[in-house]
Amino acid sequence: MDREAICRAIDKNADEIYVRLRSYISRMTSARGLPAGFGEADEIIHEAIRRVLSGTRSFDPTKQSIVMILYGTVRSLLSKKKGLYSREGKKPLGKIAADVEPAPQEQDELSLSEEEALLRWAAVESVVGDDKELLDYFAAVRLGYERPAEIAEAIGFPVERVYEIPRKLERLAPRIRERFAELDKK
Amino acid sequence: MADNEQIDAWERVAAVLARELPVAELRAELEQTGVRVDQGVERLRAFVRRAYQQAAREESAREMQQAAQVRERAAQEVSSWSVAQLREWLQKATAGAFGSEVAELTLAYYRNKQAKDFTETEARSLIADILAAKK
Repeated sequence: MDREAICRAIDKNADEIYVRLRSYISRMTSARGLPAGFGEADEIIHEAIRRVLSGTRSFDPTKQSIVMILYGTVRSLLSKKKGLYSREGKKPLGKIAADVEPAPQEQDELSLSEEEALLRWAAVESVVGDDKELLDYFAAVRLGYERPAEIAEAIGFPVERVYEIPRKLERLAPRIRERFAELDKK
Repeated sequence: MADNEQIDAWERVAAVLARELPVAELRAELEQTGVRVDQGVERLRAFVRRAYQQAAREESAREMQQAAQVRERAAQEVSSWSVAQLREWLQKATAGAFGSEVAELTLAYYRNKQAKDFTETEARSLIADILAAKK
């Protein structure tokens, strides 16, 4: 896919791209701050677009949508193992006198903490808690199963039921939003 | 679960939510937390326009650099030819020995110039240009 076609595809889907990526970034960044070098969450989306346009991330437009490609790029950027957070500790710090200057930031200081991750999961869990099928689905997702067939096999449901999950989530979406709003207030 | 496993597990759930929940719902949630979505979408569009223009400029500069290198190589190749070789090449070219495109290019030049006025320098330059165009 040439650059012009990528730009047209992004422009056409700008609303969905922005909303999905921005939402993901909000849920995957710490309340304390963003990865090194980024002042605003939007800049992470722009960086993903820049990478896709530079051709460093190739993709087959017949098999993948631009939304999913950008989404994958943002996921990779925010990955604790290989993304921007993993570089926090590699910033040049210079020679700082320990008794004069404040100690350098810890590598993980701005990353999403385990506590934040648990609180955010608890918010979702509290909404889906009475739906065993959804709970099993999320248990499989949390363990790393991604494809519907894999998830179906892991939880012992027919794959058709896994395809129904988005509709269930759609119904629960307002309650999930409420729980996140409560979490943000704390 | 170990420390990072909790974060990895949440990352997978966050990915499902951002992918599967309706855009309208995600938009409402963002706006509820103070994110100015319309402004963000416009900034994204503006960024794409700028990034595309930048990428196009870089591509154009790369192509110009490559073309200059090809022209330089062709000029070097022709610079060692004797006058007799230059004339022989031009005769063959106009006769179509190197293909119709080369013949047309050579003849187009001849149409505007009498063969007798054709200097050695001009012949070298013309042949170098045609060779570069064909590489």
